Amino acid sequence: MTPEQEMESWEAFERYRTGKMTGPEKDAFEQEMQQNAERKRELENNRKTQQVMEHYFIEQRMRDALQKLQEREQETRQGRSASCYRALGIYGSLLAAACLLLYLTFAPVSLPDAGYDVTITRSADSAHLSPAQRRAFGHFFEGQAHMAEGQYVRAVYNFEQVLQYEDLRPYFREAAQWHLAVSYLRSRQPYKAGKLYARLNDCEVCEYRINWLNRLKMRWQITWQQWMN
Amino acid sequence: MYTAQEMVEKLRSGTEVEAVTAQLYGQYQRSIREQARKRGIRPDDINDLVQEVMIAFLRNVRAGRFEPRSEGSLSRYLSEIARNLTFKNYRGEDRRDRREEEYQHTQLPPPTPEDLMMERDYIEQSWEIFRRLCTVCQRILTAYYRDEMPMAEIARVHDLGTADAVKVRKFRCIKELKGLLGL
Repeated sequence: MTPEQEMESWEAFERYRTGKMTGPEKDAFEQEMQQNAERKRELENNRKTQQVMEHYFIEQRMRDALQKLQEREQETRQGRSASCYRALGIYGSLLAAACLLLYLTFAPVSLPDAGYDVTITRSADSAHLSPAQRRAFGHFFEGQAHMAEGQYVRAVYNFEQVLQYEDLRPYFREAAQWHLAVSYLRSRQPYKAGKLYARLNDCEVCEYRINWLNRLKMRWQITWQQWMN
Repeated sequence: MYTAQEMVEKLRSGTEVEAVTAQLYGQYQRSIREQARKRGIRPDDINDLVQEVMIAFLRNVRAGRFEPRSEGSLSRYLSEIARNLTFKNYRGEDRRDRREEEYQHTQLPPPTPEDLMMERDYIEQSWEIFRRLCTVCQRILTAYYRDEMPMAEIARVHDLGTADAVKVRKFRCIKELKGLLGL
């Protein structure tokens, strides 16, 4: 068979396979296949070749589909991981913020050690203290004792008494004011605490130093109590 | 959603292959992965295994070796293919000792019907043989028979001259393919 004949034979097979061969041509084709063994074998070979191609293309479609499905799943997984991390980041931040707020709300405001005050205030020669000054010191430390016992209303009284004396050293006066502010706060008088705090916070030359964290706690707790009221 | 019978029929006729693949993948890939993990297949290999199971299933269906008796039979069949592929193909160096130890005192089970079904035949050969054709032949035959592009379009897209030239070239590719098949 010449190459051209082979090509024609293949095309005839394709027309027959796809149903495009009809009528007398189809009858003649089928008859020849039945009668001519070689043509029959050729038809069988063509059919097998066609089936191989057909299967290849179907398999290719399945492989392409699988690849797309796996890629999509991979993208989804990565997207989910990114979302997870984002969510964790957000929740983590919220949790940290909540912890900070809880700390600021409930952690007690720490004032400089009273023992130190004793050294400063008591270091003055007690023989040279006036009765008024002696009473002021007494109220101060009594106030501190009441604070330590949780008796803030009594502590308020003590520190208010202290601040009535005019002849107080600046350090001592400021210390008393801070203790009073804290006692106001603890005895649920946030507005008084707020007024006093505002004055103390605005001081230009502060003798009794309170660090920023405790100031922040004070400010937050005053604001919180005012809201709650 | 197709039934098992419908999926088999569509794969045999080559219709809606993508949809059937998506359903098979969606329904069974997790169990195949789980099976693979239990057998210690490396995570990098599990994707390949899933693909191979699906392809093996396709080949068996098209070769007429699988008839679904029930919805469950398809699941069991895929599971069996996965098991066989795991034993045959995924034997890492680091698992050799463990495997030898595991089978030291036991006899390997006799081949199952699925084992026998996995032997090579012309359907399985289709993929390898077609890929042995030259790139141009693969492109022409794919464009004409799979994508059903007209000759003139094939000539233009693949820069192959005229429609007649593509026609002649296509036939030569068919001859080459027949040669590879030993026909």
